[in-house]
Amino acid sequence: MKYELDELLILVKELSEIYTSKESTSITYERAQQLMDAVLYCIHENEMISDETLTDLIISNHNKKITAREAYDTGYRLVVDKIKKANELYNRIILDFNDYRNRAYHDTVLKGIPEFFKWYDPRLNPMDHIILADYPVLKNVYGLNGIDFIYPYLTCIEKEQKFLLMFPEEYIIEILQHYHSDFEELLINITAIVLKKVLVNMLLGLRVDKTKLDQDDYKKLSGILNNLSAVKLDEIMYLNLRRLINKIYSGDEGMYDYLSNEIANITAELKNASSNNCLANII
Amino acid sequence: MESNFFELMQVQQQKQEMAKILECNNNTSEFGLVLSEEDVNKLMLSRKLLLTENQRVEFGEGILPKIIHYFCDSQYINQDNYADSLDQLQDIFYLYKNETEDRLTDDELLDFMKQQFEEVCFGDFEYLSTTCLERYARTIRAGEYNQKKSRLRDEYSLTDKENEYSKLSEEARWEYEVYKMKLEDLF
Repeated sequence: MKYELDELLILVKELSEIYTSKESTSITYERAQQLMDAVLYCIHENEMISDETLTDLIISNHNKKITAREAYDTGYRLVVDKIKKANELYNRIILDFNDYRNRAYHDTVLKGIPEFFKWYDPRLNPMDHIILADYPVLKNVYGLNGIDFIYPYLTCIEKEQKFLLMFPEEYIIEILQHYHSDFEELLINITAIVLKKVLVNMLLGLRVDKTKLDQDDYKKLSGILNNLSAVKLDEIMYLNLRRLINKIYSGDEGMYDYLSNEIANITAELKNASSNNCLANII
Repeated sequence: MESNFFELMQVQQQKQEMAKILECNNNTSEFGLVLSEEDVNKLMLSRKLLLTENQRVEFGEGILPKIIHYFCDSQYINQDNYADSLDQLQDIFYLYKNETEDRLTDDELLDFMKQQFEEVCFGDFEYLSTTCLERYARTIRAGEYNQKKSRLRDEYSLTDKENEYSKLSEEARWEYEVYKMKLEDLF
């Protein structure tokens, strides 16, 4: 470890005084461990500062040997700043938020996230983000915790909303209904389903707003998929995604990167459905 | 790292505590109660074992000076049983800090212990520990805890229904439509 245990213990002691309001002289091991984790979380936050966001002056200061207290205090401020940023982001998201009747999406964004802001404790328990966040996003943020999880999770939700809001609600609902009649209750990513539909239509050269494929379309799709290797199909999908982003979302790189996370899944699913003659079940 | 971490905490605070406990003799001598250094050493050793046994850590001066302060005027404690009594009291104290899930402050627990010890148990530690406090802890865990202060203690249990007002309140805490309306006013 970079810091001496003595230095960290002083910080843990201070947190224990805040935790007990100086009205209890002892705490359980479990609580002491939680407070130590809180100290390490903030110190880690300080270490995570991306060099890109720093000026040379700050970098040179940052590289100096700093005490655990300095690292903790700076880290704590960064955590608080991140909460503010997350809160602003959330406020922007919910102005036009649409859950497309999916219960997990609705509950996570409109009920869960406010509970996070209400109860999140950056001082005593910054690693606990409290809520379950049932709605799955396309980026793997699930190894993170605390505000380090919630902030990128919200950026994913923002990108998804931006992507979905370009399509009429009825169009999305129709695609979801075709995907599964009980789509309201499923823990599914809505963006992934809509993206798959859009990319398949582009692959077939159809209008994006055509929701239902006919027999000829399936036959044509099967032919294309059988003639393409997985790698080639991947390439085409990435290319089509790029075209879509450039045309509709003004070349939004963040959105492209985010949606790219799903391409491998889409191609694998299509290849698999094609080889098992069940494309109609997934598109 | 974990065991090392807790042991270091205990060693650090033991150094400070010895002097504090001996200082208490100045106040308790008027009740005919004095601890020798040997007594204090034994109590400290016992305290260390009790903390480990109950999986707790202390950072500051520890609970002994407070126990001494609360119990020094007890009619059931004299010089002959003083050190033993303190040992038993700290044993009971740590046990019930855990049993009440830390919902009581030190003073709240010691206050109850002293009152029961004097007026109900008549100096019987066994009765205090296995009957009075056992029943009390059960009530505390069930949520009826003795909240002397009216403030919320969210950091303990993350609930917002811990004072009388909250129980009566019918206000909605989060309303999406209202929040959205307010936001739209802002932007």
